[in-house]
Order: sequence, then structure tokens, then C-alpha cells
Amino acid sequence: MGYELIETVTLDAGAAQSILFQNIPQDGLDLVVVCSFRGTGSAVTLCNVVFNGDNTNANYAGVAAIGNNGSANPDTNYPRPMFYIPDTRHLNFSFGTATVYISSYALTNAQKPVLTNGTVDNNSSNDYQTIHGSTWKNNSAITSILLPSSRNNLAQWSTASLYKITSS
Amino acid sequence: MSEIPVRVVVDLSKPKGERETIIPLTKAEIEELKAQGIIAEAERVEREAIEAQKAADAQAGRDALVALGLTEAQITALVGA
Repeated sequence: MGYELIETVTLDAGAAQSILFQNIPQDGLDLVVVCSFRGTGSAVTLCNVVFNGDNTNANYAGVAAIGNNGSANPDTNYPRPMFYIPDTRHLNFSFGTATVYISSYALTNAQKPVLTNGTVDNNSSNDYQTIHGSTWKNNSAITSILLPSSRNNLAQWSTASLYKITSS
Repeated sequence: MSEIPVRVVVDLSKPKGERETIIPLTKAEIEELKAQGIIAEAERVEREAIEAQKAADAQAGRDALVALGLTEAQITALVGA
């Protein structure tokens, strides 16, 4: 099993609302997206991942364990893979981290299980940590991944890296 | 947002160094973005209200047990920290 970087994108030119990887090579086993994000909004912000442009929640099944200041709640309001992004209430220059693991993304005869982990720094009232398990209920191969901010923009210097897991 | 939000598109079929383009979002995408922000904020408020009520209920329960004569150690042994 190998872990091969496909591409890294850093918003070095300024903020953007989203990052879209498209025409993803289909020669891997699994995909891993590693994100280092910060938002420009001043209230809770999250990233709801979209595969192949399909942002219809009913086409996904997912449950999140969302922690906030030590308490945790199961939450089924987020069918799509999701994680929180620190906003301007969090520490200056603090970026959250998240990993999205997508199994068997290139198969055309199976739905796509996804595991997402994410966390942001603790500003005493909002330090959301998430573990999110989901399935994209579609047999199509995943050819694009959209990483949007739900509020305002992803801040400058936010980074997303796309890796593929290979058999060798 | 006063400026039109943009998306960084990374086309992995192109050679490295030529993959990134920046495109403005469509009106429909901007509307969806606004709706998502409103939903997320409403969910946060609801979640925090539930947590606050749980904490208040827990404290009221402990206070009631103290009034019945239990010590803090006994209450903790009974219901946890």
C-alpha cells in the first residue's frame, strides 16, 4: 500500500469560498483529503464535502459525533461528510485540521464509504471536534471533490492536499 | 460579502503548474452558500441551548440531592462527576 500525493493547493493569492478538485485520476484504491482551513466569517463555519457536484443531502447517509467543550452529541443533521472550520472568533492564525478518507472511490459498482475527522482550536465556547461516518449512496466513480466553506470564505493560506492510496 | 466569492478549481487532468484556475461562483451557488450559513447558525444556537438546559437540569438535580442530605461525595458516587 502506498500513499501518493496527487496535488496540494494553498490559497496563497487570497481567500476563496471553496476548493474543487476535478478530473481526479482513477488509478488509486482510496482517496485521502487533508485540510488545513480557517474561515473569514465570525460565526460557526463548516465544510460540507460534495462529490461529483451532488449536493443533495438525501443522496448521502451520515452521522456525526460533534464535541464542543468536552460534551459530545450524535447528530444526523449532516448526511454529507463534514467538519468545522475555525472562524474569526478563534485564535489569530489558528487553522483547523481535517482528514477525509474515501474508500474505493474509483469503483463503479459500489457506494462510497467516507470517514471524516476534524478539529479546531478551543476559544472557550466553540471548539468543535467531529468524527463523521457517511456513505455517498451512488455507485459512480468519484471524479471531483468540492470543499466549500458554509459561511464567507476559506481564509488565505488555507490548504488542501489530495492523496491516493495505491496497491504498490 | 461584498465581493463575489470565488472557487479555486484544480483540474488534475492538466500538467502540474497549469491546474489551478479561479472562477466566480454562480448566483445559485451564492444563494446556497447563504442558506447553508443560516442553517449552520440556527443549529449551533439550538445545540448550545440544549447543552445549557442539560447543565441546568444536572445542577438542579444535584442541588435537590444536597437538600435531601446527601454529601457531594455520595452524589458523585451516585450520578458521576
